[in-house]
Amino acid sequence: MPEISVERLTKVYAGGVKAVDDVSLEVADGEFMVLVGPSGCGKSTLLRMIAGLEKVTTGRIRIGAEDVTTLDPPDRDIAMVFQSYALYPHKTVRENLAFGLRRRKVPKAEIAERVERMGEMLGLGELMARKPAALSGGQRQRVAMGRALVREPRAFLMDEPLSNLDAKLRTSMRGELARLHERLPTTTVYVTHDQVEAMTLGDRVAVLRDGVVQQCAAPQELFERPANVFVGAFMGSPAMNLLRGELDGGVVSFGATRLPVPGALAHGRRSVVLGLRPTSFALAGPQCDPSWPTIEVVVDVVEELGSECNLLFGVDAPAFSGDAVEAAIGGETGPDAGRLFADEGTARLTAQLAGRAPVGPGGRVELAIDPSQLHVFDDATGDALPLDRTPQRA
Amino acid sequence: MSATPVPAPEGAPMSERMRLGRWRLPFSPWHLVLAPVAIIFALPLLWMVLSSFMSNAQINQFPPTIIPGSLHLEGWNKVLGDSEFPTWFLNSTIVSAVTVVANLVFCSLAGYAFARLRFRGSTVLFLLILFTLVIPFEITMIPTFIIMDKLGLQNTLAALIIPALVTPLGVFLMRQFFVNLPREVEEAARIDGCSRLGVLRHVALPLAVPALSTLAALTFLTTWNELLWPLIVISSDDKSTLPLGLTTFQGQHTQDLSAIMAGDVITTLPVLLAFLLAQRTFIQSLTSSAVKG
Repeated sequence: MPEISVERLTKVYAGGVKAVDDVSLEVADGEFMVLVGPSGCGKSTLLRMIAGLEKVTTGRIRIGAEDVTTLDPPDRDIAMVFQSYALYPHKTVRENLAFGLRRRKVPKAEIAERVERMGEMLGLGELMARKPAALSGGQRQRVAMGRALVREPRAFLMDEPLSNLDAKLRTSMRGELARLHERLPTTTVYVTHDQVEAMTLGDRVAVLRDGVVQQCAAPQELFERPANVFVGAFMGSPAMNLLRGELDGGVVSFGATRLPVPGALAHGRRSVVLGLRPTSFALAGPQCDPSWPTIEVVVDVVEELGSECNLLFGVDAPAFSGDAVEAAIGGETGPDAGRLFADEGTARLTAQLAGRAPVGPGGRVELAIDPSQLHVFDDATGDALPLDRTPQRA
Repeated sequence: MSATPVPAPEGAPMSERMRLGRWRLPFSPWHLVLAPVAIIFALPLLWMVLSSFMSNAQINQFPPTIIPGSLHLEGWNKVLGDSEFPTWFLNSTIVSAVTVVANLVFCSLAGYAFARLRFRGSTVLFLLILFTLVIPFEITMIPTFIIMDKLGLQNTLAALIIPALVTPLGVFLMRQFFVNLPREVEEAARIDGCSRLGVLRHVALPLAVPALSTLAALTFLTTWNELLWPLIVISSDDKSTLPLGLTTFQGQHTQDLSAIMAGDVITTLPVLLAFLLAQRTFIQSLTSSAVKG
């Protein structure tokens, strides 16, 4: 039986804004479920409805066997970590940790013991008598986690708990969170807009857009088999390259380039959007599978990242930029993000190669493309066209 | 007050020496403005205290003297011995204390409800309450008197307390404070197991101490100094409050200034003490919105 089950949940705010639209989701006992999506996609509203902080318009929420749809937050036995930590500013760290237990009438001796143990586990020893104002961001973060953990609730809800930390601390806290979940495998629903957090932390990830779940799957499956253009463009960094092409007889052509797409034979002739992960490129040469198609490009920009490099180049094909792509990658910076030159007929692609860049800007390079990594989406709906991935003999 | 030149150390860079070489005041220049203002405010208080130790003749003397030639305690004797002054003091204390406590309880409850609970007509109701702020007391005092009379409360301390149990200004003050409290802290308390009232008691009210002390100080000051309403509703000496009692030292043709001044000293003292005690939180509440915690 799933620990948290959300059935056909809808939230309509006053004024008619639909924040969550007919969402159904099941989180198994001990599972770490990540809700991810661009800002305004309804992920926080969904979490707040599970917590009981937002009224449900229609639909049902169960925790364990109990229908909690209309229950108040105190009666749901869940703990939540907020983006702003929401520590009680007038209480010391020790009192912050003990507060939830005291409200639940846990015996005093047990509270003291559990709070001390939690303080020790999270390394808060010397900070126990301090108030939140005297703590650093990372320390407040740990207290907020401790306050949730010490309650030993049925489920944890986390609303972008790492987004107020600086980049370095965020990375280390991400690792700590993963370790923590391994030690205490409590059912967790975790909201983030950061797809790296989603990929690294989640047992499963639900991608939301405009209040609708686009796909809910294990991180690797999301990456390898995105259900539509939005999921493809949202997951992965650098983002998936998308360009318009024609599919005919299992071969996608764009400009002068023709790429065989294994398993696409059944789809006949149609306009498609082709998705190419930057990591599906490799430097052509003897180290590559000789059956991989190659493409010769002129590199515009080289980004050296140390252990790998990004090559940015143009190909003679119309770029695909629909609402879905803008929602996925342009949400934070606007629809003009990354567009400097008005060369509409040229798609800008990114290839990520291991090691140092083989050429500098302006250099020519031949890249091989792993055909098993190609994604083909319907031009009109943006849905992925199912590809027959069973190994075929040439 | 003196200005001291600061000598520039040998070998200091030119800009440093120029800066240090200037004449600098040993205090903030603001004090040049604040000190005279403080004197203007303190002078009447000082004169009140000194006058209470003068005879009526000394007080009425022209030109007035600040330092009396001899010490007179007639005023104090009259106030503390011959009048019902201790009763008035007690009445004022009872009325003020009950009013302050009632305002703290009711205004924070109403303010919190207006800030956080969503119910039908809440905005209209709040605006109506705000609207009563612009109606002068002179318009409502007769109806209020009639109500008190019908309730049989005329000439009782209850008549002084009941109309002031909750004030629109207090509701407004508390609502504004609660609206600005971070909502997530309250939500965290809800999830930690608090009921709505529990959130108010354990989280919102402890955080509202600056606003509560402002409300307490304002309510205390208004109630303690109130004259017009007690003058209307109280008709006997033993139910009088301090400001009302003090008027008995002043007739149509005579006024016992030394007794009035002695009474004023006693009346003012609790207010001054209250301000000195609450000064820190008072200032904190006035500046709290400017500084992010």
